[in-house]
Amino acid sequence: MNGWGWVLWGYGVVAAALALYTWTLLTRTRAARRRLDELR
Amino acid sequence: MNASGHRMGGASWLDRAALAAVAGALALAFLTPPEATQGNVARLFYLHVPSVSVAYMAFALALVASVGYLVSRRMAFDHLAVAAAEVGVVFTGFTILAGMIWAKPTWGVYWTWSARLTLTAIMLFVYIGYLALRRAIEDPQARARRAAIYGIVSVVQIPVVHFSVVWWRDIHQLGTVANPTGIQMDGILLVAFFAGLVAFTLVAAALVTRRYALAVLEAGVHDAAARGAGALAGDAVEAPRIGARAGEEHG
Amino acid sequence: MSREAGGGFAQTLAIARRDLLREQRVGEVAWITIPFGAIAVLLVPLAVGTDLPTLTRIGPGLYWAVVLLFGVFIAVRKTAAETPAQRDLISLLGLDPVAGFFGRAAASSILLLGFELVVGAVAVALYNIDLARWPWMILVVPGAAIGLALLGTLAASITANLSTGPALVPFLVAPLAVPLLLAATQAMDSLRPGDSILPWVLLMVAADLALAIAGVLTARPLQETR
Repeated sequence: MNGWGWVLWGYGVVAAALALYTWTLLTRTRAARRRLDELR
Repeated sequence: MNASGHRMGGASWLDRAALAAVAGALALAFLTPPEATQGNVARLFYLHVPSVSVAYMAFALALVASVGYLVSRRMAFDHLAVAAAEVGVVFTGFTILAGMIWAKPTWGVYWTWSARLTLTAIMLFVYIGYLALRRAIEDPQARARRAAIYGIVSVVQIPVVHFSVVWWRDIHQLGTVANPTGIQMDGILLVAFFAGLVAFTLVAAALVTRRYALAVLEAGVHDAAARGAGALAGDAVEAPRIGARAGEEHG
Repeated sequence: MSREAGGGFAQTLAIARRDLLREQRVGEVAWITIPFGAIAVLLVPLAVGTDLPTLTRIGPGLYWAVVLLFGVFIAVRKTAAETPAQRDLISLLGLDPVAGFFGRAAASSILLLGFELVVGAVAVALYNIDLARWPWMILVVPGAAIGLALLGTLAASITANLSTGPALVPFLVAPLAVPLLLAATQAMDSLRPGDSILPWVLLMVAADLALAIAGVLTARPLQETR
């Protein structure tokens, strides 16, 4: 792999991890809001 | 309970600003000329170093919030502490991922056992422990108090860990490990670095905001559930269901 | 859980599903056991030195020692424990004890496999381990997970509801896990020079089979332990 390959690999992995965390955050928020609506 | 929930539906101004800053930082990181000694691989610097700076900021915020909780006993500080600590863990993870992918082409191995790298990994585990401790405690007040105390104890201990690790590294003198700061930065490269720092700070702020709102929501769920249980205590006991789902009794 | 609930296999699946659901809710393995194993991999070089060629040489052995000593905590996790009342209820529902044993062991095997993969990735990165002929590991890694899960489930059932249970289980398991440790480490050692690893894989399969048979034979008397 040349320099650009490693750069794209690094940015890609971090972007994927960031997307995953954001997604879990949104999913957890949606679940908590649904649960709150159920309880009220 | 819903005070900060209203903007959770769509993208806030902070989300938009973070996205714009990320786009700008990416453009600068990819379009600037290659660095003199390392070439293109050094572009990982714009990812790695801003991540670790943001992680430290987040942990500092978590410390301030922990102290704030113990002083004032206001749950808002606890929500802020967990939001900052969780985002700090995420950015420490980014730091380690980007650092390892940078180390492989530069030094031939993913892990160099430098003092800084080892410390970053230890810090990651300290705050994963903080989050695990929180998950283990049901009662919000008890959780806030114990988590705040653990958060403060860890931060007090981290400088000692730092010195022990640096001292240990100095004694061993591994000459094979190159100095990660051997990078020449000036002009446009410095601009790209600061753009990365601004972008990551905004992304972290947007994530902390959302995580804070989630903590507020979860506290609301806990309160509502507690009120429900008080009204009808018998509802908490479920009759055993016979059949394939019988295994799902609550533990 | 009699006829209408399906046969032994359906019961096994139901129990395994219950254990995995509990883990999903509580996150005990994901948040405590796996990070604990990973930090063990990080701490060992702080103690023995970080000379990379040495670490690369001893890394696979360190990894398997960590898996056997720390992975066993998965078998004693709180979410796998049943109170006497829960056990009574489940046996009154007509659960076959053998299905119960295999269901719990299956859930632990899956969690142990996750443990092995995450801690393994950390070990490969930190110790610069050479994964030559890695496809063979597809046999070794799940084999060790299954064996350790069977052993841990047995030990956890034997010590169920004892106050010293969580401390006892790792101690009871460790000596009996020697065949698994040897099979796993020797298989990895033989991979590099290009020798056959078949004898070691067979040893692991034999160990797993023996533990499964022991589980079947003891499932009924174990159900009576309080």
